[in-house]
Amino acid sequence: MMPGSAIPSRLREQVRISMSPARPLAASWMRALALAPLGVLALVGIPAYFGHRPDLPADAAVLAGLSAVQLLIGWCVLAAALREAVPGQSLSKQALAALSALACGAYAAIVFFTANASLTHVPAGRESLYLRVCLGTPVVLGLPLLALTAVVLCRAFPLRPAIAGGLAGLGIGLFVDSGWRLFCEVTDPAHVLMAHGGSVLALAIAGAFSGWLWSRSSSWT
Amino acid sequence: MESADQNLRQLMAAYQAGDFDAFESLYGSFAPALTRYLTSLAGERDLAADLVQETFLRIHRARRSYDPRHPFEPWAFAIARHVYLMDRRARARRARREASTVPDAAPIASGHENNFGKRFVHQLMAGLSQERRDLLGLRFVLGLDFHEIGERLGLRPGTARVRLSRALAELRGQAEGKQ
Repeated sequence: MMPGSAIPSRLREQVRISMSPARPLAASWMRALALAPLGVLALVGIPAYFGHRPDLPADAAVLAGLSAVQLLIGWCVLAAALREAVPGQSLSKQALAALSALACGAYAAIVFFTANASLTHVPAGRESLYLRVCLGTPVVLGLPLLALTAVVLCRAFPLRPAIAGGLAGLGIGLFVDSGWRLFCEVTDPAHVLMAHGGSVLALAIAGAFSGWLWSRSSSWT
Repeated sequence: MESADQNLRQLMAAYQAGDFDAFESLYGSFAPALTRYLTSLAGERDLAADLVQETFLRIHRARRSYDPRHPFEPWAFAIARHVYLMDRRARARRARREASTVPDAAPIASGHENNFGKRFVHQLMAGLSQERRDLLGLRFVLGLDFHEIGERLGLRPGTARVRLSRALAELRGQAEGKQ
């Protein structure tokens, strides 16, 4: 053991006065598992509260099955966000690009597969209303979930808070949309990609912006 | 014989459990390597010494984020790099504030061509990305081989070699462009 005099006195005192046991965080995938109930809450709670789409009883296996797949993708993105938040485990540019492409590609595939199974359109003359409701409401529902996720993220020490926050927002967006799509009866890809997809993107941007704001605060510096 | 990494992991685990002696041992074992790394980034030993202290303070704050199942050095060096980047950002802000109040510098007098050469190199380096500056510093200042560079930066040795080659090519291209 090196002599204690090797440590500058200022550092020694600051560490000594705040020394306490610190339980290591669980692995990223385990902490993501702890957030999985948020996804289940969205998947089940949104159609339970707002009502379910008329074709759900007839096509429950396909519709609910695709929502479950989307939930799983959202969970994988959240796990990536939690991993990104740990120093030394940041995702490479290639991994980030691949993950984003996979999530977007899978989301688009789910949208088109659902439309293929049962195509419905926005009622004529109500495009603006449907756009506002299907873009705005999921964002409002997702923000508290994003705030909870941000608390979990900050317990690590994210060195790129905007990226970690953006991934968290994307994951939460996919969670919320997995339940919202069981409420909204429209499967027309134009509406779904613009409104529902827009809400997912908005939550990702909100997460990235929150991370950027936090990096400017004294909690990070 | 235990590897150095195993030793650091064990010390870190004991430190996480609240053992101050383990923190002292960790400092003694890791501070020299950390000092070399930060000196390669910052270019000045005095500044590097300050950054080492700051890094250990951040390590103390972030200690629960370390997973003892993973190597210690990538986690610690990532924090060190973050500390260096934050310090550099703060210095750049201060320099911009000061530059707005300082009059233009006098032209270089004859007989100071050597300083122009050093300034030229600094200008070239400033044009590179942070990753490329890190690679050049670790290879040509600290003299690390590609395996060690890969461990520091979380890269495979072959990837480190390719990226260093690209950094040198970019440096050459900038030098030819400025001449």
